[in-house]
Amino acid sequence: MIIPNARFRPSPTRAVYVHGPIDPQMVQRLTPRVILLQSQSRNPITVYVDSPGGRIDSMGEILKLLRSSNQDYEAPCRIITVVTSRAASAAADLLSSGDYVIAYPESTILYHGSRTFRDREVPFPITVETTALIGLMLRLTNEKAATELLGKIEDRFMMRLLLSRGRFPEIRKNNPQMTDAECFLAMIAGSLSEPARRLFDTAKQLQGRYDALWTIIRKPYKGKTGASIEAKRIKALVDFEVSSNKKVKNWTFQGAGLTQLTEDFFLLNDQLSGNQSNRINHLCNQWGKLALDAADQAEIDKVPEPAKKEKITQRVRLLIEPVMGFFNALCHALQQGENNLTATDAYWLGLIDEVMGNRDLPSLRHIAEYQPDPPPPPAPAELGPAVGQEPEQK
Amino acid sequence: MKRQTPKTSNIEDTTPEDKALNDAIDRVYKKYGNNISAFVRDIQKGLAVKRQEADSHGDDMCQ
Repeated sequence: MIIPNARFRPSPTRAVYVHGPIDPQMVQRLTPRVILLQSQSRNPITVYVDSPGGRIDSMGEILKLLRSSNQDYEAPCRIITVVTSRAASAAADLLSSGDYVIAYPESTILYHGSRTFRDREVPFPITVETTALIGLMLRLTNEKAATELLGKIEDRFMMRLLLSRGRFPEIRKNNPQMTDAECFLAMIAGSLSEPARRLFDTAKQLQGRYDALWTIIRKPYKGKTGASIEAKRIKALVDFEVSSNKKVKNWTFQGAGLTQLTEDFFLLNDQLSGNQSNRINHLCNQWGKLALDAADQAEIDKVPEPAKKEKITQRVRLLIEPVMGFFNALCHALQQGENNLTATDAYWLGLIDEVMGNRDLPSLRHIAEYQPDPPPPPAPAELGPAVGQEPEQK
Repeated sequence: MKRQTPKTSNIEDTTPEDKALNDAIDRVYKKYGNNISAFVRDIQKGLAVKRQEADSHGDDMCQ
């Protein structure tokens, strides 16, 4: 039985409307309304989005304002974002930043990499050196955006994975060797529109590349300082680039190679820092019990209590890691080119939680709002005599 | 650079959001165990009934 929960339901009476280009004028227009809503209560605020995008810095200001605490240090209001028609560029980033994200069925969402950073006007003359600097800053901005996006979508893809498992036997019919992760990705690929399918393929290619890089970089390099270990890793990356581009005509580091090397270095640093590993552990703890099948569960039941949690984590990691690898690559692929997605595409790619009114696409809300049915009322015989009626004499 | 040891316990980092989600997952698990497909089916059945009710209500309004 589903009991509506305000944390997952948009409310037009506690809402702001992001309509039109996102710019300083919009920040000015929305600020008093956001402050008013925050002062009234700490209930969720709904952000309705219909925007072609605009300035990243203005979007950041709106988000910062929405996420602010109050004088009593209370938690920020939960943010429910809803795209009604179009969320492109910075508006898509704003949409994804919601704690719960809903798309109307006919809406479209456009993701692409950064084109500007902080100030739209470049505050220095354009030279060879400053052009290289701008390139580096845009790359770092994209890298940061991809990492942040992954943090936002992980619960969604975890839930999609679990709720889709019932369909895996059907997918496995042609190839019984397929793992759960492979079935899941095949199911996603089959549910996407043509443009989204191209994005999916790009993400798969990137994932293959990251897996190969990870095998090289995770070796225990020794060195006296952090920089000397980094140097060894960079050398390993240089060798990898040379070897994997052997057959690419005219490939050089001066061309695209050095850029690629820099991107790989930052990407792998995030993995090496343990951030991803911690996130996977967190997902295992949160979703673990739903992720185990009956055989796994029977095996884990035999393990003594203190070691149980560790065992569940070990088992569920095997399921999550390849899926997490794909979604990590997807978040990076979204920063390349123009990626125009339908609401259903965005749902399957974990970029939104719910497509409004589509009952075939279960969401986190269904889990959050689920309450066990109340016990049936006792049968009349169990109720005892009605008022004014004498109890039966034996 | 030294690789950090992955954390296995996040008890101290549990946010109210995490706790709410944990409680929700517990409720589903208590009823369905790991048979999540049955949960999805029940949810979809419930929504289909609601849809039918809404449609028939719409028909009544037209009459």
